[in-house]
Amino acid sequence: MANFCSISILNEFALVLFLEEKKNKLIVLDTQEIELEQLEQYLNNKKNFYISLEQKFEYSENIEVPTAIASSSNIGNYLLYKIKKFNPKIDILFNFKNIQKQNNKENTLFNVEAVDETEFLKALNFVEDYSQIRSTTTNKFALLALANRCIQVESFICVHTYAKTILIIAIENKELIFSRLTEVHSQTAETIQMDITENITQTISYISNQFREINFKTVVLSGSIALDDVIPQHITMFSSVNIAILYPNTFIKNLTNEEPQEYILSLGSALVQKENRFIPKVIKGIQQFNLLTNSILLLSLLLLIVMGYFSFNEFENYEALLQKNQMLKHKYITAYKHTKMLSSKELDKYAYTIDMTNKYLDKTPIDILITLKPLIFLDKPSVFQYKKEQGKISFTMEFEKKFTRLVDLYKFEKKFNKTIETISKNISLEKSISVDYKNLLYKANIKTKESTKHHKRERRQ
Amino acid sequence: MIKITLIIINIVLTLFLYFLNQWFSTEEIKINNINQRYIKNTRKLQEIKKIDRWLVKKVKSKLLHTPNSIEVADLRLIEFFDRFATNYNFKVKKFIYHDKYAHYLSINYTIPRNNYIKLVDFMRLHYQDGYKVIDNFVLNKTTLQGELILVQPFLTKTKKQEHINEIVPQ
Repeated sequence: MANFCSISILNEFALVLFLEEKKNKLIVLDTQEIELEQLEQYLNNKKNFYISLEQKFEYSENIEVPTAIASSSNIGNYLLYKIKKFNPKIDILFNFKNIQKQNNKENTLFNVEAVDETEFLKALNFVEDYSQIRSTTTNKFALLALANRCIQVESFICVHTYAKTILIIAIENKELIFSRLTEVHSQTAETIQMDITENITQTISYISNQFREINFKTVVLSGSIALDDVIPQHITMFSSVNIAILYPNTFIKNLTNEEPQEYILSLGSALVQKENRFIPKVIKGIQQFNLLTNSILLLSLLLLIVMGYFSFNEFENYEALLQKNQMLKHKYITAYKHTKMLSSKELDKYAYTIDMTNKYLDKTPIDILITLKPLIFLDKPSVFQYKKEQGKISFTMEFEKKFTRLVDLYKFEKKFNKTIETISKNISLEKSISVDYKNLLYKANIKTKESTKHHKRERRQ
Repeated sequence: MIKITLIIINIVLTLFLYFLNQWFSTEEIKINNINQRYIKNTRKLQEIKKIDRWLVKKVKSKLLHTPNSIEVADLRLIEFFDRFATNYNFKVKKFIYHDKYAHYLSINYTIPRNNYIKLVDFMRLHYQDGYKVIDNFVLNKTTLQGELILVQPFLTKTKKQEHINEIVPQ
């Protein structure tokens, strides 16, 4: 967490702690006790303020609200109306909380704590930049926060004195149930001691009478009274209560011996819970504005990063494409340079030759002749005829062979048939064969039909 | 104020990057199209190169040298006839005739069957700058007889562009 300033204003003085939070401990970086007039200058260039103030007007009351009023804003308006009824001229800044145990069916009891907003804001004049304010409250809530942090007793009274000022609060279950801020007007040290003792014992007595159901056995002292030897003895004597000292040494670092007592309220103002803070509307507006701008800034930054990522991707793709483009261009130019482009005149000449060759050499008897070659080699045909009729090519072969031995005729016949069978795989044949076993004479008439597609394919290969 | 300035800068930069993205996308489409064209054209060039090689290897040597005039075309046919008339007993079957593409001369031939060399020579015989088309033949016990057509391609300029797809005249 960033460093922050915890400030308590008492009379015309400001007690400032410059703190840093680390591992749930508050490390004191600097302490300052300065006059209120110099505070503005001291806080210049400092950030994150937690402030507790003394207020002349502090309104604390329990008010009943009809249960029919349910929503929080309506309850707030009702309570404001009630407060304004008794304080019509005061600009009210207030917090309220439901006191559960005192509910009845018709009404709900609310504890209201209010201050004069105008005066409260005026007291914050020493802050130049309101956006740096994180928390503002009154001194009694600062004391409550620190007491709650340090004291683990169910109910107790906490007394804090500073110079002639006495702040007394009564706490039950960590809730503030009573507070009183008084000032003694004595002049000598002895009479001041006596007046303070009297004031405290009277208040303790008053609290005990007022809250009879609560047994306040412990009085916790802080501030100048905690360093005094006489007053605590007198309090014990008059009030028969246990005395304890508020000494926040477990979570504070860099404050030694008696130093913490001086800065009790400053330490407390850093620990005040949200519900006990008084944030004037102006500051709340600034805080909301800051939250909004921070959110928008974060969102815009996120958008920027996302768009940056996509742009980078697109750029990479674009660059890869450009490289591919250069490569393809180079390939194209090389191919272009190495390709001889024939003129249309030359191409016409080639096309003409190809066309004419196709026209006049497309149907040639050579292919069929090659296919028939095994048959011709087997026996010379007595008649071998080639014809071309209406573009169709045909061959006619007549074979006539005389044998002296039957075995020769038989072998020739087998061989001839086998050859014809092989040839028939490539071209269609019409055949007429007669074998005269009596006279050992073999006659065959073979005619080819139109050349097949197979022939055309062969030729092209 | 600093935050607002930063927000404005961020938004402006985001918008800039958005439009930059759009520009990249458009450019990518353009470059892709150009690349496709390069690929297509390179393939075409490679095809052309292949065809060129094939033309040079297979067709160039057989390129037809068409005669300048009808007389030259006809004389070529006649000269061929005269050169081989004795060897293969050429007889004119149909004297020079023509269509849109060529001039033709139909010839009857007769070759003794027992002269094998002459038979092979006849089969191998080429008509320079034209075609020798054997229309038919009959190989009987003594002779090889038949008909061949000499084709002398000859075109007028206007006909050259037409695709020739007609069958050989009979």
